[in-house]
Amino acid sequence: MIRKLFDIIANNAVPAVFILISAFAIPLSGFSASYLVQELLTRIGRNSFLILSLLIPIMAGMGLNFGMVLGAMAGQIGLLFICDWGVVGIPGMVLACLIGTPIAIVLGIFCGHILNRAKGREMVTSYILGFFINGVYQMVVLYLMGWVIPITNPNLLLSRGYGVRNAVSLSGIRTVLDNLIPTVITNSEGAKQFLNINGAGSFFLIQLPFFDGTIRIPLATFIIIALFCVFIVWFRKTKLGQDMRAIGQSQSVADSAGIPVNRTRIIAIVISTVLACYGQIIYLQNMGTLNTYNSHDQAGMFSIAALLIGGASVSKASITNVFVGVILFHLMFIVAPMAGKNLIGEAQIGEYFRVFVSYGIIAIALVLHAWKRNREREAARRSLRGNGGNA
Amino acid sequence: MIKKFIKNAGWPRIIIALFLLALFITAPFVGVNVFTSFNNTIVRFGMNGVMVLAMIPMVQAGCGLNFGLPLGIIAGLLGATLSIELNTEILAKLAELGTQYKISWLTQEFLTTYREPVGFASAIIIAIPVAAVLGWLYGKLLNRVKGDEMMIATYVGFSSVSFMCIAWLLLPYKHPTMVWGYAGRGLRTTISVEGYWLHVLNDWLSLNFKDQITIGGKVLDVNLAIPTGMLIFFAVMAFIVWVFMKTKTGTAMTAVGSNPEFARASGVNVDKMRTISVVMSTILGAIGIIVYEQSFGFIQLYMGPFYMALPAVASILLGGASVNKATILNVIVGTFLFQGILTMTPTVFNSVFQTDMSEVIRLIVSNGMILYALTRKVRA
Amino acid sequence: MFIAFLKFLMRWFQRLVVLAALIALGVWLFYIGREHQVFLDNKTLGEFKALEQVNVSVNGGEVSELMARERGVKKVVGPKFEIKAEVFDEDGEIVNTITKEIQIDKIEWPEDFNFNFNFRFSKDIMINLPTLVAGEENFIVPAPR
Repeated sequence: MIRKLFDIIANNAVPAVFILISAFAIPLSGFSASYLVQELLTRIGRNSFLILSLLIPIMAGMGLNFGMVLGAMAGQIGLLFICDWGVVGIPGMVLACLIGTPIAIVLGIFCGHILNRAKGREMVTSYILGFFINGVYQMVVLYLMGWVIPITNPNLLLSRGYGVRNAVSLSGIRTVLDNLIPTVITNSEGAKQFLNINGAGSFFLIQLPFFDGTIRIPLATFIIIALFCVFIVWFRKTKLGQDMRAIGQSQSVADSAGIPVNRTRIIAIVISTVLACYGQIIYLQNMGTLNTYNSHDQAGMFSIAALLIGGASVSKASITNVFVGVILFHLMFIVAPMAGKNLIGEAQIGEYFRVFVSYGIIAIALVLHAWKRNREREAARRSLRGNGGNA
Repeated sequence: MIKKFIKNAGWPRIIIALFLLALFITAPFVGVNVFTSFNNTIVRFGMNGVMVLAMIPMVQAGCGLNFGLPLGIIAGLLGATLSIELNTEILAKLAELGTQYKISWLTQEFLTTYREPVGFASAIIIAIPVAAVLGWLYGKLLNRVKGDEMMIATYVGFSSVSFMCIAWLLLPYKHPTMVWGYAGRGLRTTISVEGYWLHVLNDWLSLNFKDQITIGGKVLDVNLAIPTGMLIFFAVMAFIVWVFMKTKTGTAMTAVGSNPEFARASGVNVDKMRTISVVMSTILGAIGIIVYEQSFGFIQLYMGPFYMALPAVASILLGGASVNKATILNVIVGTFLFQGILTMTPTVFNSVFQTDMSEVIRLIVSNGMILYALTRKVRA
Repeated sequence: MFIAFLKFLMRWFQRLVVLAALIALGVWLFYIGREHQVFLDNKTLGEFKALEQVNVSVNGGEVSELMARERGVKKVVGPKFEIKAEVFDEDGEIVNTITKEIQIDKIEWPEDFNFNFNFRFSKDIMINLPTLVAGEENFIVPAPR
């Protein structure tokens, strides 16, 4: 019994450490429970979709798809166009997805081909590919937009007449999805205040008598995320999903079983890239501003770090890992600067700490994975030799 | 013959070389002073050369491209900052040692005259043991993760840089030119090395020409300052690496890189060779950044070293190295080509298109080159 | 052979249909999701004198009070909107209330308006309130740049 418990903890060492850190940092930060819950709900809505897009390549044995930034860039290009045309609201978001999809598919196919040429080092290759496409993206956005690609809205362009500004306001689609089905949880006191401010009618009001504070829930975003989870569960059971898992187990076995390995791997990357494109659009509709030249960079790193913190490894990740990860990672994200400030008197330290943790956790996860794999390989080799000796 | 050449050199390299050639040819016509550009290229070659050199040992030992170069850079930064922090103490200690052991040339006068070179040397001498220790640990780590070195190296570099961000804030540095003025603690993001060891290598034996020549009726200022000292330093480092690769250890290292099974069978300790290569690479990275800083004039802390591995990696690949084979010639050619592009693109593009596309071109060229190398079939 | 060719054609036909449907969806989204600025102008235009005070709302939204020679701006989403104008006299009494439904893409611009190709795609229009209140048809004028 105790041993079993120990096993569970040992297998979930990373999340356990994070729970421990949070247990210390939350009281130190001095944030109220309702504030933390509100922030967490917002961030779950904002980030989950992006993180979920990482699952399918892991299933196909391609490791963490650092190339997801390609999808994020495609989404941003879609957003830039709808901003220019002035299409707002849900139609704007859907149109951005519609524009982003073909770009993401093309980039995904490109990425898939490149990764098929670099088997065994998919991660570092997709990582560098992200940088490379970032260069192309900057070329397009900074030089071609407003010159070759027509952009008419002067608010989007730099004063020199071409090239998109560093920060673009997405006021037209800000939180449209989050507030599509406005939902509020509060106690009776808060409900009265809320009704006074907003007027009755157009939102769900859930009253919980013991609840302290007022929380808005991005219900529509959660529904989309839930649908996506259902999609992934369903996808695992399809022929394609089964093929991917077979490839993830062993490429040579899959190949001899007649599965088109390279093609399936490309499909996995394309799906991931397209989903990352949608994920970035959902992320940015919540943020409300697009940092044209670095929003996508952060998307990749933070998503991967969150997934790993949730207890996933390079070769195995589940939907549970996504949600545990997003909660733990962002809990630390929220409390670290404040805890740092209250502990040492410098918010900057907390800021650096969470950057360090994001990178450190990726490093540790990669090391553990490679270490384990090499040990298994070594053991296999040894047993092979042993058998040879006997015969 | 030409086909074979193209196949050996690879398309990207040829395209980039032609691009650079085109830049040099266009430059005079759009009013760019070719001499200045060339001089800048030479200076930047010297600045970055040692860091590119740091790639060789690890590539040869089969550890792949050292994306973890920031680890060595951090050692170099520690050496650089400590050499400034402890400048007076070091000089006093040396003078004391001089009198104690009756070393005739190590006098107060000598130390005052050669204050700057001594400071520079002290930075390197402090950095080397730090780099050796970090490199040893890093090497031990990489031995456990064979096959995934490059990705892990990248993140080891990143996490060490972000860890040092916290450390730079908390370490008890006191020197007024280095810490934030109002808080009195925590190092600044950029620290000037002026008055310590600015340009010690650049100015040593430097050749200066000042002249005006007339080409096709146009008067052109020729203003050259060749940083001979820095080039000599690079040549010495390159020579040391070259000699090392010829020694018994060096050849064993190469053997490990080209065929680990064979090397093991012939009695070479594979893990030890790999560790040595990583230590060497880290030490070269540390020295490299100090050379870079003495020319650049500033120590860049915090997120400064973050992406410094990528240009170095791209340079050596551009010079013709692959993921598992690199030579000194690759370093020289690659650094020259890469730095040439970095210097020429901003000036030429600025005069032609009135905009600076160098950043974008740098991203595409360097990462395109790395991508190309990674997607090539590895010849075992 | 022939069947295979038919199948091939069919597959491409299906793809084309899906593609066309997606493009149509995009166009439709563009049509219904576009945000337009509607400038409200209470200035004398031709024979129609500026009104003393007029309260204007669009799609039942917030009301703007416009005095003589004032100009306001509203944002509407989609091609259709309803404008409601209440005209006041000097004593602050409502003398006239007008509601009008306007479809931006169906506006018939007079021949003599000097607009270029871009203008038809332009998302902004201006409504001259005195003309609107007078019940005339040509109350829509090009938006200021």
